[in-house]
Amino acid sequence: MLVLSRKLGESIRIGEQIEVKIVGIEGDQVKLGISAPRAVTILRKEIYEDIQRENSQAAAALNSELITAIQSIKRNVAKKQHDK
Amino acid sequence: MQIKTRYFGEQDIDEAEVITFPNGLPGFDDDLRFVLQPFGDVFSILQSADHADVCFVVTNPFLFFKNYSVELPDTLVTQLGVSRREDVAVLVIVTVHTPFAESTANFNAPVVINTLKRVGCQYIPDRSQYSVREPLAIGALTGKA
Repeated sequence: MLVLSRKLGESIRIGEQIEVKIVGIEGDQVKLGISAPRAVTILRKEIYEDIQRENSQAAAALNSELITAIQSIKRNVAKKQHDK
Repeated sequence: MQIKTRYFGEQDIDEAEVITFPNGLPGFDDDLRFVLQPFGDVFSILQSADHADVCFVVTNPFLFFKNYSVELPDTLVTQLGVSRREDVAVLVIVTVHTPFAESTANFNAPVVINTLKRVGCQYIPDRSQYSVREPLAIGALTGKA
């Protein structure tokens, strides 16, 4: 991993099109300003990891009981309204 | 084309049915081609065309939250090449629990598909009022609540 020191207001460039600027430092928090092309997705890492974990769980194999349960569920808007 | 599916065995799929996910899905970066197949009345299976064991139960979020909404940023609209609102399909990935009534779905990061160009991605918003593990109100859906 490349480690760089930067002061408030200074930037780094990643390739031709991405710039990351230190726009604020308060205690243990650093505020970053990022300029990047629209096609580049920028995310807080912990959010991405949470989605990754959830996707892995969601991809777990279903047993035949669950498959039957899922396939038997019907849309039933009319009945829902009737019940209320 | 011939694909192996987890729940429907080997299948012959029309290439035009394939939905491309240029970045895969988080945690599944190598799966760039999926097909969507009905799984009962309410759910579908989003099946990887490349790996039989990569598939997800998905559903229409609007069936569960009438007022569900997701605001697609320009970046995403550009990435998916969306030109008309009616070409956009939104699905949520279900994490199945036993019993099924305890299942949750990721209303936070929906799968967004341009149905015209057949390109999709899982959109992760910076902020959302919905959880990654939102309980699925199946009882309300079936009238058995």
